[in-house]
Amino acid sequence: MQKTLLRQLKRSMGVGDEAELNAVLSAMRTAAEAAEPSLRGVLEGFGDFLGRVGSSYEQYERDLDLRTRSLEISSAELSGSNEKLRHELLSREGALSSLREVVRDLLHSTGSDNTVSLLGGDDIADLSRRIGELVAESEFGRRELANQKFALDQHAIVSITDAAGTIVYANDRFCKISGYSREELIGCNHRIINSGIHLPEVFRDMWGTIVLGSVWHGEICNRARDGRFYWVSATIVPVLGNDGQPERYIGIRTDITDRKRMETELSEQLHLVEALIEAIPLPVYLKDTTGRYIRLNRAFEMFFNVDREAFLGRTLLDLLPPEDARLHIEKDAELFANKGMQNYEAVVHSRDGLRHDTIYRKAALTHRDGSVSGLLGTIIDITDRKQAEAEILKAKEAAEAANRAKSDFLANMSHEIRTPMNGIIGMTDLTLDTALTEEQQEYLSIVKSSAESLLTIINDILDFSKIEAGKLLVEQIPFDLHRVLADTLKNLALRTHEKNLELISEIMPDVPRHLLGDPSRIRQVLVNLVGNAIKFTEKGEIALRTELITLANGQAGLHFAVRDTGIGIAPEKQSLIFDAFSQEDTSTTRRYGGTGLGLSISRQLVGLMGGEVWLESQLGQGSTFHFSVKLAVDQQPPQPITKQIELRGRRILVVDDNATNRRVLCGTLAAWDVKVQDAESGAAALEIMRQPDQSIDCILLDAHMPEMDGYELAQRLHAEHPELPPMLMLSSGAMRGDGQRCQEAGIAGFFSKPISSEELLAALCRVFDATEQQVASPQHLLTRHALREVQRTLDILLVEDHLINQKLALGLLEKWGHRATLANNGQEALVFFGQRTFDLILMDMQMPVMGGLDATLRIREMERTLNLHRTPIIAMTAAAMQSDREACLAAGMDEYLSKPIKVKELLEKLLTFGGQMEVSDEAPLAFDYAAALITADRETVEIIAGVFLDTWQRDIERLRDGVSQKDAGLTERTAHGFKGSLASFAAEPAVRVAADLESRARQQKLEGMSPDIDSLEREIGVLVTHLKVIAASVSE
Amino acid sequence: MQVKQIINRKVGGLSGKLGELNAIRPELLLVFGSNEHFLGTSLHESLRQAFPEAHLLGCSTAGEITPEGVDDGTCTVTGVHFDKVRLMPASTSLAGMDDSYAAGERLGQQLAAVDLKAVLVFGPGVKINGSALVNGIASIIGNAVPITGGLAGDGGAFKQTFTLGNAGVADDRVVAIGLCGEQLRFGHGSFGGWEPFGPARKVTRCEGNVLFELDGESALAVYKRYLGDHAKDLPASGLLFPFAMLGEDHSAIGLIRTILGVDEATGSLTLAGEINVDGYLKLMHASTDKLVNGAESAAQAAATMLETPGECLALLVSCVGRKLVMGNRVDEEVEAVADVFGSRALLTGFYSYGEISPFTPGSSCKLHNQTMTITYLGEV
Repeated sequence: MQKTLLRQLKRSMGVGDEAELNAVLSAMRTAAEAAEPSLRGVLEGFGDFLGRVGSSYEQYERDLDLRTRSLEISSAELSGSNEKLRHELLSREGALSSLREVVRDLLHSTGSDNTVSLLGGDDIADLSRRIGELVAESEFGRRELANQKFALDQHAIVSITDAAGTIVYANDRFCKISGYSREELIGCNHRIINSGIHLPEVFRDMWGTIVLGSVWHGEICNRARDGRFYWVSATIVPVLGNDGQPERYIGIRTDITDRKRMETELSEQLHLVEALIEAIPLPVYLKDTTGRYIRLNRAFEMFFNVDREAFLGRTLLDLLPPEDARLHIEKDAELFANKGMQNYEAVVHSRDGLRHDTIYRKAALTHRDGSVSGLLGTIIDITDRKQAEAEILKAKEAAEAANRAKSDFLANMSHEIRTPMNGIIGMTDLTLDTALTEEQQEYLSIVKSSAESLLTIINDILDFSKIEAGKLLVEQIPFDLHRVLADTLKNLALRTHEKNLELISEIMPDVPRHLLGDPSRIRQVLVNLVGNAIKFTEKGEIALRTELITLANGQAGLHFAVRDTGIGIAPEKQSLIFDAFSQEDTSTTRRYGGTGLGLSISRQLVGLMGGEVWLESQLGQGSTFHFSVKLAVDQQPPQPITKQIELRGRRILVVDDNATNRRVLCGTLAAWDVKVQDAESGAAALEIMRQPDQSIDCILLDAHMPEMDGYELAQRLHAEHPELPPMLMLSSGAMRGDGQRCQEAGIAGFFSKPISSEELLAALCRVFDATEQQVASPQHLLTRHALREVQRTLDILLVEDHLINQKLALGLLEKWGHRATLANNGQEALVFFGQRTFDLILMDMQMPVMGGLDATLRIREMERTLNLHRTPIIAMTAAAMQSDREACLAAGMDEYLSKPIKVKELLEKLLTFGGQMEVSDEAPLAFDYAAALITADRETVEIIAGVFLDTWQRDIERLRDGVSQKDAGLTERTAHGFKGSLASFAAEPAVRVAADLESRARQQKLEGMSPDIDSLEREIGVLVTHLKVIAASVSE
Repeated sequence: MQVKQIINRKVGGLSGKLGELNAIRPELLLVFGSNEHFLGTSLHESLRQAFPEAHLLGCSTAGEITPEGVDDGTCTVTGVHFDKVRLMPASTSLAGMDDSYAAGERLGQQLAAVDLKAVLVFGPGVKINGSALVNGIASIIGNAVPITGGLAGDGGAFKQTFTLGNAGVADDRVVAIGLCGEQLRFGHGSFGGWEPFGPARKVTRCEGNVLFELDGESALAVYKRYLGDHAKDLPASGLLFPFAMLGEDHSAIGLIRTILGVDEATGSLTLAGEINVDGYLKLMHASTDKLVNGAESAAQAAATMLETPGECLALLVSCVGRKLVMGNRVDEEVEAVADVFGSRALLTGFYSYGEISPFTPGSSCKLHNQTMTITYLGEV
């Protein structure tokens, strides 16, 4: 029973306990049976009722108990949870606040402190946002750092060690350059890359620095795994821990191996340069732009006897005495201004007072941009050299003096030898011209030829000596090659004629005519070769062929060949033949004579003229001697003859039995576009001439032909052909008297062979000219001499001291019809010169009292001061060297004859200076007086014509009277009158003659006027015929 | 629709009374009784003998409900005659607790019909996952068809229960009837009246309907703490503190779970139905008044749904836990319900180990615990 119920029962019903209750209940149940129906239920069911109530109470208790229990437990649990939550919250709060602190610190450290105060709140969202921001910033920074680190890693070698030096990090580059893998490096010390070349101090210093927390810089050489060395520039940074002590070392290194290598190379090069400068045995110095010495080498020190330490930084003024220094200071300034190099001599006194001759060689040094940075100088001591130079100079002078002595000797020798030779030959010549018995003639001829041989020999010897002495010089004067060849051959023609040999000259058409060279030497060689040919040829011909080999830059290479049909030379002798003193064999000497020097000299001469000689020969057939020369072409040749006649189209017949001759002539003529026919004999020629419609314009005849010679042919031709074209005779041997025969044979011209192309051309021109124009004067027989012989008499002053030479010269001059005045020396010559004028002076060089040069100088001076016209002076000298010739010309002489005097040469010179050959040659060309009269003043002519006609013959007589009566004045006056009248008629030629007469009369030179008066008469005669016509017309 | 009921207090005395039901020519016989009545074959034979054509449906109880109140040791047979509504029987064997869902599916397939309007299902009260069973059925027939019924009881012993189907009585069979036809009217209500108290405890370990740990503590230990002396009466005393199921946000889902069994070895509690693994549980308590009020609420809910004239049947499936709590006063809740329904409905039902009913009108059906679940049937 439930206690509460029991208690309630007790209280309400007074039931004490359960036992009582049970008793009551059973009593009630008993009572129920007898009770009222309404109570019956109660009484019966009371027990049940109580039970239900009891159980309800129990239930309630139970419920309450459970509920209470639940409540307690729940409360406890909830409290517990609460407590837990509170703790959690506290710790959360704690965490939050520390988070806030951290964030604040972070924000503070990042510098954004304006937001710090805003962190007071609990806004976690805000906090986390801020943290997010911070993280983002940090992340950004981290990324930046990562990028930097990456970049660093690319460039640098990075390693990180702990405090003990053990590697904890090595970047890729480190691994690569050291050759160790990362695993090998990490955990090791840097010792594994120790190269061992550094002193321990280096590492001690490094550790000492970084252990104290300082950054260390330096260059280290490391050794890679494969033993290769590499250099790095290292920076080691200690990273300090919280305690301020280094806990990490970060090493950043860059590879400078290349740089180190270059540095080494550079320093070696510098060292080399240093060594070079020191090693140079010359004093070398370097100066800066202010002139201070910045470098001196050992040689410099020794030269100047100074110590380089003392002079670096100093200038010249400290080193040298002032006078020496001044020059160099100026030179330095110049060098700095102009850059480049300098080179000059200077005298330098070294410290010990010694004088040195030096050469200073300096060069300006420039920076890369071209500005001057300083200069480098070297000094070459030439004191010794100068001395040597002085000695050499002395030796040279001595040698020159010796040389001059030698030359003088040779010159003297020439003179001494030639002078008597001249006398011998000249006198013999003169004597031969006088009346002699046959015997005398013969003896003297022998004397002459002997003398000439001797002269030749002497000349050869002298030439040879000169060659040996190296004195032989080749001249360079303008000359006409064709004329030289023609002259040379003409001189030799006589000998060929005597031996009945043909002498032919063939000049190729392209051979230049006017050249610069030494004609006398060329002549010498030709004479030698042709002379030899003549000597060794008995029959046949000797032909000289001249051809042009090369022509370039004004230089002509000519080739001459002398071909003969002589005895020939054996092959074994051919090589020896040009050697001196050797002849083919000694028997030759005996048979043919000669010194044996000729060919040797010829070879030397040809060599001097830039050529060679060589020989082709066959025994018994003949020989051909060749030589070549190089001559410059004369760019300004003398003007050719103005008057040219066209030969083109003319028909000429050449008659000659010699085929070579025919060939040459035909060739020459064909070159002028002449239509040539040739005949090899007189008979053939006649045959040709008999041909109908043969219009031959000119016939060239050879004089000497077999069967019918030229003269006979000419006569025959004249006989057969009344209208015969003019004929020219060519003869191998020109003799006096040939001219006469020609004239008789009706031959227009006579020439000796070989005829030069000019001669032929000139002759043909005159022939054709003469036939076309009216010729007033009687036909001249054109001869060579005729072309030149007509000359007037000259007043010649002969200045010569040697008796024999005097006689010789005077004889020749008079023979030629000249008037010669003799002076024994220069002094006398001056006297004569002062008294009267001369046409020409022949001046010897070496004379006592006053020599030729001095006299000439004086004469020229007199001419200058007295304003006289220039008298030609021809020097006669035995010396004949280039220098002498030059001296003559320099003194004022006009020409030059070498002794012994060659007659022909003298004659030529006389003609050149004296004779007016052109005038007389052109005289046959008639002056057209009629035409001239028309040009004259008609009125004057009409007035005086009549008077003139009446008086002129009387005046001519007066001229003659003046001459014969030695009345120069009469002649002068008359001539003067003629001059005026004739001038009015424009009769120029006559005027000239009259003027000439006048002047000579004035000078009292009445000698030799007669022919001129005759000439005048002739001229006036022609004029008169025309005047008469005019006079006649006037009078009508 | 016509309904009539007989109450048999003596085992074996049923056949004598059955004749009373002939008057309505029942098509369906709902039989609820204590275990003794279900033992043997006499029940089935009696019923079949009397009504060979009628569908049989029923189970053993932990108390029988009649219009007068609650009884123990009796057997009530309620006959129902439908005018229009057709009946479809279904039953299946339950192979074990894990077979609960599949068994439900099997039932569902048997019950599938075009015009299925409601299902009455009764399953064993032990070794069963009631919620799985309900989900299994619902997975086949859909959520539109209400499923009501309950888990059989055995007077609080939690050892062996029986179900009755057309085939007979079995302790491992789940039986059901499908009610088809448009004319059926159906109302329901379910209310507990329990109140949660104390902290929300996190389910830290559970497997299906076995709860191992709460807040890391052995679930059994927690229970024992609260039961104190009453712990020695577990599992029955466990009915005193059912669990309120809470969601993750600590809000009540509205379901209550009762302990069906305990396992000392694992310290675990076997609940009548599954609980939310991520959810929370709170202990609940109730007073008799609250429970009675709850029953009243349930009746009112069911009544408002059904406004049909004519006779109606009210099937009351209440929870054994309530009986334990209310003790003698348990009749009051039935009286409350009867007051609500008045004379219109005939009451029948039983105290079960798990009530089956839609949770809220139109929502899916759930297994409830500690509730008064009322199914109100009528026909138009």
